[in-house]
Amino acid sequence: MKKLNLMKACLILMGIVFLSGNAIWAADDAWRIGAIFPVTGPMSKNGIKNYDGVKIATEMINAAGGVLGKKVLLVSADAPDPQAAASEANRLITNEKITAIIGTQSSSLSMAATVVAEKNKVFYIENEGVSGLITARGFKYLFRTTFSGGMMAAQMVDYSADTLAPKLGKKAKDLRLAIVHEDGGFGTSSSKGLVARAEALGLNVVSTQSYSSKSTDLSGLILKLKREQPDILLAAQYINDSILFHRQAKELKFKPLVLGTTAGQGNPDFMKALGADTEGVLAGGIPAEISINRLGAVQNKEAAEFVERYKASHNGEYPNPTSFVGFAGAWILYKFILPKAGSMDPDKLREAALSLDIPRGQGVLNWGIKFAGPDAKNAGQNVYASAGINQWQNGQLKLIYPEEVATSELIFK
Amino acid sequence: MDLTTFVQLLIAGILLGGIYALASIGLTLIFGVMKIVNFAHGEFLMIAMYVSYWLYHYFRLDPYLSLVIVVPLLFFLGVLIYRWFIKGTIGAPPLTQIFITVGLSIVIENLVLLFWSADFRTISVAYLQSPFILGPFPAFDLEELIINPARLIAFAIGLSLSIVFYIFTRVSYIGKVIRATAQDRTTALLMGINIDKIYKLSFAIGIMLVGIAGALIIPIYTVHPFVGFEFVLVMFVVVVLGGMGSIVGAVIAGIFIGIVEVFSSYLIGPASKQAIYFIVFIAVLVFRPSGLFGEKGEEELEHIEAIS
Repeated sequence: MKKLNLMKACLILMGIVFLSGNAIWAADDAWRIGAIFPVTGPMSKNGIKNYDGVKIATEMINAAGGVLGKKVLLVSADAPDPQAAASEANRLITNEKITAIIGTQSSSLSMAATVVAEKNKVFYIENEGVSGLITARGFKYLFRTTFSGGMMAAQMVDYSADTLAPKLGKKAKDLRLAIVHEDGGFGTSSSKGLVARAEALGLNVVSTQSYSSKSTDLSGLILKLKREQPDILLAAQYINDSILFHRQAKELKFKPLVLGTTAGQGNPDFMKALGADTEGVLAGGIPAEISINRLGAVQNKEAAEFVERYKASHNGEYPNPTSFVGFAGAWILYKFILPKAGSMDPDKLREAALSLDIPRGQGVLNWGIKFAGPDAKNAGQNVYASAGINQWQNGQLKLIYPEEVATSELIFK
Repeated sequence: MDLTTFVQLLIAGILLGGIYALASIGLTLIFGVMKIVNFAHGEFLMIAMYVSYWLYHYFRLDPYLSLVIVVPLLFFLGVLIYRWFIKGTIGAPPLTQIFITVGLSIVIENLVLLFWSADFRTISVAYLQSPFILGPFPAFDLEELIINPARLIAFAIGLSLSIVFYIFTRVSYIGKVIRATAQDRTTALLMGINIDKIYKLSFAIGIMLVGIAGALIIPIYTVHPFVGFEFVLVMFVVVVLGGMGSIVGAVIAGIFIGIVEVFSSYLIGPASKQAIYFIVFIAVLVFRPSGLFGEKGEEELEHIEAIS
């Protein structure tokens, strides 16, 4: 009986392999692009949303006739953890003969997958992982389309000093800034960026606290921060811990002005959990909305089509911010790099990417496209990408900065 | 540190510890009776949290009332899991049992992910929103103390449940049989005890207890497919520290870990709190390998014959 079951399982497995193999070879005359995202596992929440953005970009380009007359075909790979990211990158490159990959949503996954790609000289678009370490390695085939954690952190500090300080009735130098961050790669690198920028501007950081995002109680941390009486709390947290933090902070009557990030405070689940308590909370990072009317005519149309298609496939839900950067990364590849290279040869793709110099506002969203060269400290970084500052207003996450694409203005109580 | 902060932290620590204890009692029972390390224990906590969440989401059923459904549901889930997956591994080498429970944990996580997505889901119960305020007590130089009602309820129910369960194992016939099986299964078998039935019952009660914990913490924590993982490490620490199989030990160790965690995150920094309680944990094990309240030799995995 047991043997029979085993045979059945083997047959099913063979069937799956056979079918999927068929699907791949059927589309031989397409641009075959590897897509590595965490679609299962702890990071799958945002991984799926990002991949949705990439898929919609692919639908859009194919509906418009593809790139140079050929359709784009995504060959997807699931990367729930860094080991899987590396082995899936290997599989795509060796078995599927992929020469260009888009991914990976999370910095830790990106670090692992991009090493494999670089070693094999495969072109890699990182569309969301923001860690500074990704571009600090001088890789030649790696290009990050989105902003880096450092760019985001700098913007958060600048915004605190330039815009929030006057609203609080203080000079920037008199501001009491506190930083709280989860102790993983994201929180730690963001916090470094925040501290570096604050030091450069001569601002006063009264306390920097880290904790594990898997914490079940943060009251000690909150009482400690409360003692420092910060004016603004800069927070690099994930969603789960940001909810716990805000709930316990409210209870313990710690109410600073919070400027978090879209990884935590800007997540739609944050609103679902905390309701009216989110009012006024700020989140730096990915722009939550794009004022479509204020973009260039082409960008307007593309962004509007993206939103339309996303809503159609997601029960009318507005795109999650992470879907925007997913879309943007894929769109830069399809619309700007691939047509210029005219080939899937990684060296040609690379040259095409490096030759781009699209001013801000004429690329995707409000971004321009210009990648830092391989000798730069941030090799492969799109230096014309831009983060944004969002704010919860009446249950909606509104983009309030940068002003040229903002959908609302800062509300300050 | 002023007195108010001290008392506030102490309260937070004790309440947190109560949650840890509640989540760990089921694990220590399964450990003690069956000598099986249930690595999927956190996943059953997660399932109970989801059940409670959906009942609230669709029917606005109060999370505490949802216990009426969660308790029998998790009990039967325990029976089924035992019958399908655990029974066959009784008498198998410990490694096999570890594989089956780890495998279960991965399968459950991913099934939940598949069906309910990785969304972070939270409920907000209106009457639990405003915290209890004690004081101020000028006589003791204390300012007002803040107590989270949901944590207090979880603690109170958890503690009374532990006491009831402890009395049950001491007084009732079935409780005594469970203890007898835990102490010496060969002799228990000779005395005519149906070991298979006791194992099934213990496993089901263990899962039911963690289910109660799940329903009680849903007003406090966010549920997502990997929430079990956030609790399972600390549950193991509590069980081993308290002594495998000891209910009293689990309660005391749970509260102890809760206090250590909260104080170390205030005094030293939250990042180091795990390091701190693992240092305590290792120190205790060096001097008492069977944990604070464990019986000597409890930690050794004995090889037993399969149930036929």
